[in-house]
Amino acid sequence: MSSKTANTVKLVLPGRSEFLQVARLATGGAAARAGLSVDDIEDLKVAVGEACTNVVDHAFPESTDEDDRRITLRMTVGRDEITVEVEDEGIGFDPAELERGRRDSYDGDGGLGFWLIKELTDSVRIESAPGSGTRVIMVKRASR
Amino acid sequence: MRINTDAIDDQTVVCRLAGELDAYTAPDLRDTLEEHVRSGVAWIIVDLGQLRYLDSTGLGILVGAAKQCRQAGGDLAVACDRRNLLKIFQISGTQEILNVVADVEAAHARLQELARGRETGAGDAEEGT
Repeated sequence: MSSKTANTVKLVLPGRSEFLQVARLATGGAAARAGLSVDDIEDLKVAVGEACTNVVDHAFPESTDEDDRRITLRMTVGRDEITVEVEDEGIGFDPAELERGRRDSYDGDGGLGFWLIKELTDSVRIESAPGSGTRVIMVKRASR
Repeated sequence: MRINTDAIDDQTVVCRLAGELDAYTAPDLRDTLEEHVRSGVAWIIVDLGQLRYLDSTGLGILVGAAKQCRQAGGDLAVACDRRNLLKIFQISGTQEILNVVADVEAAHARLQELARGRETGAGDAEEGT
């Protein structure tokens, strides 16, 4: 039986929007390896895209040097299941703020990203605190 | 992402997107749609038939543009039949505000219906005075 690390793909990307597509492509490849369907893969790509976009948009103060803006993507490929972690070493935040911003329909004023992550994955956990960086851990299982 | 714009009648344009709409490419769409409204075009169809990816960033651009079109006396409709994209509209509850329909022909018909409805509404107001 393979160990967890033996099936983990780690990718470190510049924290800039032009690299979001790279994150999505890598996610699609790993999810296909895990045996997810086309629809499941598309869902997961949006979820990972949202998590990475949040890093680009919110994780770093404007004064942060470009070389210090990084997104670490870890994908653990299982049988009919994949776990994707999106991590940054940015400013962090209080995850409870996300639940306070929830709404039933989108009016264009932001805050939809986390809601999409929740709806498009089987589970999501956020580890973060102000000043401590952020890790978003998403699990997607193959639909029956 | 590529954006190609064609006039569909004397007051309506269709913007056809191809590629992926994310935080990197969204500013181009925002600028394109805002320019149309600024130049007096307030009835806009956004055709997503060749778009492979859409998330909350692109959705925000579309919702913002729809609001601008309405403020200018027009509206915006989205032509989309891709399952993965329709799911995003469904989850976010934006199918109505964005007039999401299956194709450009249906989008054009929807905008014409909205235009007629507004004309009727204006006529009713005049009769009441």
